[in-house]
Amino acid sequence: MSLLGEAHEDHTEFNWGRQTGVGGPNKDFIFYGSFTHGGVEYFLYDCVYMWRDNELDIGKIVKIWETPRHSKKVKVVWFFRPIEIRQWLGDVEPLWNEIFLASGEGNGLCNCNPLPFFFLPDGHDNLRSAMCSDLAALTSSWRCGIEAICGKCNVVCTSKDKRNPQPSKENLRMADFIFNRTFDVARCTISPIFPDVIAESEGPSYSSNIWFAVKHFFNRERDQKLITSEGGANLKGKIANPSSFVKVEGVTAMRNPMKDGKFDMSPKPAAKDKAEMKRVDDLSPTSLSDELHKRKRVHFSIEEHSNGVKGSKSDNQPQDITRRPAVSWMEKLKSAYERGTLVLLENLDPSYTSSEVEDIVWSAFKEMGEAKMVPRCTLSSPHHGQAFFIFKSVDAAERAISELKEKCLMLSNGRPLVGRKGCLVEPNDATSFVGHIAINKLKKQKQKAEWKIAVSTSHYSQPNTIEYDMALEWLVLQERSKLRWDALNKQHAEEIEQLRSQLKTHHNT
Amino acid sequence: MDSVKAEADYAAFEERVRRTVYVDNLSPQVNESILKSAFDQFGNICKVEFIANYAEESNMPRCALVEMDSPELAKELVQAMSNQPFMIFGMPRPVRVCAAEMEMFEDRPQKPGTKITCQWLEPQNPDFTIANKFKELTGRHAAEASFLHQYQLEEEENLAKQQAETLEANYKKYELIEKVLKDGTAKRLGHRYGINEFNA
Repeated sequence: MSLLGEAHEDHTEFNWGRQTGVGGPNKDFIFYGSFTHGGVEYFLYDCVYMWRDNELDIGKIVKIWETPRHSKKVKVVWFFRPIEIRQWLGDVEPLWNEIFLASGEGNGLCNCNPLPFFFLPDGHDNLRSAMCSDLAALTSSWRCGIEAICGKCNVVCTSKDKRNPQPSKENLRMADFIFNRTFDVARCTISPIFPDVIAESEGPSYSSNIWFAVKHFFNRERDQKLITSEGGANLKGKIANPSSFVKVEGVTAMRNPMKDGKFDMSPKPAAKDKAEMKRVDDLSPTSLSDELHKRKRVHFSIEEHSNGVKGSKSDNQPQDITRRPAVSWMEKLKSAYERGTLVLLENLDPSYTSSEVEDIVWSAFKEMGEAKMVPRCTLSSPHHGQAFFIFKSVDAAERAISELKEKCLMLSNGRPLVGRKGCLVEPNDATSFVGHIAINKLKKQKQKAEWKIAVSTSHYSQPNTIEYDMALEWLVLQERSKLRWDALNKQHAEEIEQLRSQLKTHHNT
Repeated sequence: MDSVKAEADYAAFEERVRRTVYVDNLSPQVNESILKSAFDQFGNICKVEFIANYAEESNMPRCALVEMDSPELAKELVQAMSNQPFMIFGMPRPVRVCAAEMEMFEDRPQKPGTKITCQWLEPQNPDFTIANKFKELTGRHAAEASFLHQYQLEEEENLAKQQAETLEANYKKYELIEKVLKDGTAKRLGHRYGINEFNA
């Protein structure tokens, strides 16, 4: 809301820029190449922030005009943020400031928005009623709502397409967002291939089937800055052939000439101010937000730790230890714990297997025993693995622990083995599970068979139920905790790397 | 040859990993048959394996590995469940699903061609101090991780409590409305005030 507040002071300040033509059935639609609003001049093909409910969207102005009724409209092609199309992202992992250009035909591609109506001071509801009548019929399930232009946005295209001039490092650093892929709204696919034209679907009667050359979406030529209102020079550059482009007469499809400017992006721009990104995204990181400077969704690879696993096994090969089924492991663990022979080994490489751990213990301590690597789950750190080891005798266990404490056993990935007394938590009967709610009064009814079946059926939650809303809250919580863990793991990884680099002698890494 | 067999084993294991889906946030009451029937809706399940939880209390969320027929099915499942909340055995906490990774499997085979060395360091070795620091670091990391874990658990409990309260309150309201409608109070009041909707 603060943006809307700032706009209040400027809401009377609106000026048209250069007129570029007329159109419409009665030639009473006037098209412009730019307008000034709130002290900022917006040109055609500028990327702007649009305000919708409580979210900012990014779009590219592709047309500016005034209707015969003197309402001011602007047509905007959207960029999708990864969160909006995450259903179709699949394996694709976008960068933190990557957005996707909408292409193809269909809803969600662009919207017509009236202009200074947004800046009425009487609050949101009036805005809505004023603008509903003016909204084009293009709103779709992704893009319904109200838009308001609240500022310019620096979007740079990093596509390797030949038509796209590659951006300079400076451009990249100054960029708020980058894009190098399109999202086809009809087919719901992401592709790095830019079609020749970015089409708009059927618009209001006076402007339909307008095609925009993809050139307009690529970067501009190098000598033109992106966020600048340097008057005529930029304007001329942007609209190469104003006459053929803007004169929309009747219902004709036009091909726009290719512009010279293209957007380019190289893969990883430097970290930038994250305040907007944080606000824009639904899931904001929590207490570890300082660590989340670069919220790249790159999964942590543990390759750096596991690719050094080489070397030779000791000459004393242990005998083959047959694997016993996991069921009896709990009992073994319990009994070992009671006897005091259970040792928890830490700082192992997570890719080790239980048998490798046994080999390690054998070659280091000349002790036999059974090992079990703790399998990794979402909570465990990707950097170090743990294993339970059951020694044959209490003495052996004690000796091993004390030796590990006093001396250092370095493993080949540069990490010393840490051992301590293993401990188990007493299991208690599980009757309740945090997060599963039941209405107490219905419990009596639940004894009936149908109820039992109903509850125990696994199902997708339907969007019109309370259950769905609550489930979404849980999802948010889960995502947040995942982010926290990612940040923590990242921090740990850095600390580990720091220490490792200090190792003076390298052991076969 | 032994190494050839090892490699074949490992390749087979990798293939299995690709077909497997890791499910988290399961209630501890969920057993294998429930899981199987839950995922049967999507396709053929080869195997369901719970990841044993050695160091945790038993009302913690469990996790399991579900092996499907094909990697595409696994991927589809992961995608679908990441977007829509899926409930197993209770509401409204949804399960979380992601692609399985090799370290999650208890019985994984050794990666062929890897060898490990270990070396005892003497205190004179210049790396000794660094190794000690490493040990401390491990301890610290473990503490940080357990702290985060605790925090997460608290958050989850709070959310659950909050949701339970909301649900109770809503249910009470529904009950109230239903009661009023049933015993004729609404009808009488409606008649009195000239509102006729309750005459149904």
